Amino acid sequence: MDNEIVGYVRKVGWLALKDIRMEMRSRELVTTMFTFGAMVAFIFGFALDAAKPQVRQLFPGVLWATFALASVIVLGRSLRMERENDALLGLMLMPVDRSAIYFGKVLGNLLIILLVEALTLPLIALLFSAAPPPELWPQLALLLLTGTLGLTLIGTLLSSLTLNLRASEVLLPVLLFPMLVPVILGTVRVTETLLARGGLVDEAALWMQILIAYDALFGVLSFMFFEYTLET
Amino acid sequence: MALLHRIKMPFGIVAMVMILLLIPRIFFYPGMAPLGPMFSTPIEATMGIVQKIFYTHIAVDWLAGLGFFISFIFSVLYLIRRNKPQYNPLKYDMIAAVGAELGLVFCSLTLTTGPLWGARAWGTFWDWSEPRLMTFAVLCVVFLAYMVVRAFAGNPQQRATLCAIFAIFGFADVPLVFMSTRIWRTLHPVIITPEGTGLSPSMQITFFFGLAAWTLFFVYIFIKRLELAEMEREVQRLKARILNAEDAEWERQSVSTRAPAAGR
Repeated sequence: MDNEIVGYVRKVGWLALKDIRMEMRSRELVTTMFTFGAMVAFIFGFALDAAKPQVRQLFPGVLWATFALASVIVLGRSLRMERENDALLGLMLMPVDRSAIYFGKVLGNLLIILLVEALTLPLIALLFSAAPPPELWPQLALLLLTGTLGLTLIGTLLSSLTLNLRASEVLLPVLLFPMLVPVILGTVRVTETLLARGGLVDEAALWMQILIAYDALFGVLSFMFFEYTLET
Repeated sequence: MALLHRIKMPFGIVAMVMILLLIPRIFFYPGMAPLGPMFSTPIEATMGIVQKIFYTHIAVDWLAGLGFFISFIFSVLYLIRRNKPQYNPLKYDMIAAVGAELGLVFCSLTLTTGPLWGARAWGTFWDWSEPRLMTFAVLCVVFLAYMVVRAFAGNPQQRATLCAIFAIFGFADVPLVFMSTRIWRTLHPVIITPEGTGLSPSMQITFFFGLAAWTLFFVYIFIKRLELAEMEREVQRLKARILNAEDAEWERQSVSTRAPAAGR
């Protein structure tokens, strides 16, 4: 029984490693997501006139809006890559429960998106003159992890859902963003409180709990339904 | 299905009568009604006449939830029985789609009556920090996305599976909508508490009568929409048959023109 679980975790790790390795060789996901994220941040900067002090308060919102928009690129492409040469069929033939494919993809996407977020955050902080002080960085990292996990869990499932549909690239954002609303709400509130009050106090702690609960809920739901999406 | 056809008209007529009775009951007040207390509801103390939207708003809100619940149940049934043709699984998918569509219709009614009331009661049409509004808006947008998936998907089985999964995801939000007034401090009042509804008896009668009337109306249009969906499917089936017949005719004609050339 133990060996099964260890085997499962190892296969999930191998799948994620495969994605990371492919990404390190081609670097296409990271570059496209970073470029798109930077463009979106610039547009926000120009449109909102980031010179005004009131606009600096919009930094958390702009940050997470940029992350949500840019991560759609990675989420869509990572599963679409598997369509070439029937790679998805190869994955499904692995001697492991199909949900390992799901968690492997989630882990791979999570690491790639986290990397690009770490690169984009300083850029947006610079644009909005709202750089968080170094003592807040661990808590910010925890927040980034929780928020991005929610993003990735739902996004990977929805991208496998829309994989074989007609306008799948357009459909993924349409389906993803309604489900992401609670995640974005939570992360923006926590970022605001973090920057304003210097720590995860009262409201921020509550929202973190909500975020973690949301991640757990959709992790379980997606785990249950991933197999059905592979059938189509 | 035949049973539903037969009960449609009685439900419709009863619903119509109840709604016709409801209108004077809501809008007349005790002094002016010809039949006195039976056809009137007192005006509420603080909010005045605007409060009367309450009777419709809660009813359509409940019906939106009912529509989405039906969609959820039949989506689950579809996923369970999709590989067992003796149950005719695509029918479950059809009912789930009708439930989602009607839920969306009543959602838009809720989002119309709500802000109308809120503009007077709270001074604003929409409040971004209000949890019940946010969770309900998310629910509506998710099922709107459900309809988009339905339009873009490919063959019926694929569409049914994908929509079923999405409906189940969307329904995960409904308990949140319901509990949001109990968990967080909100502008929305909590109506149904263990101590009672906090309404006067006359208002309670109007409220529950209205709820029943609107629910019967929902049943009626649900059955009508189901019939429409069946007719759409029949049209598709006939179209396919005609196209197949045309193809076969084409094949036959092209063979007969080729045959003489082969004999040479």
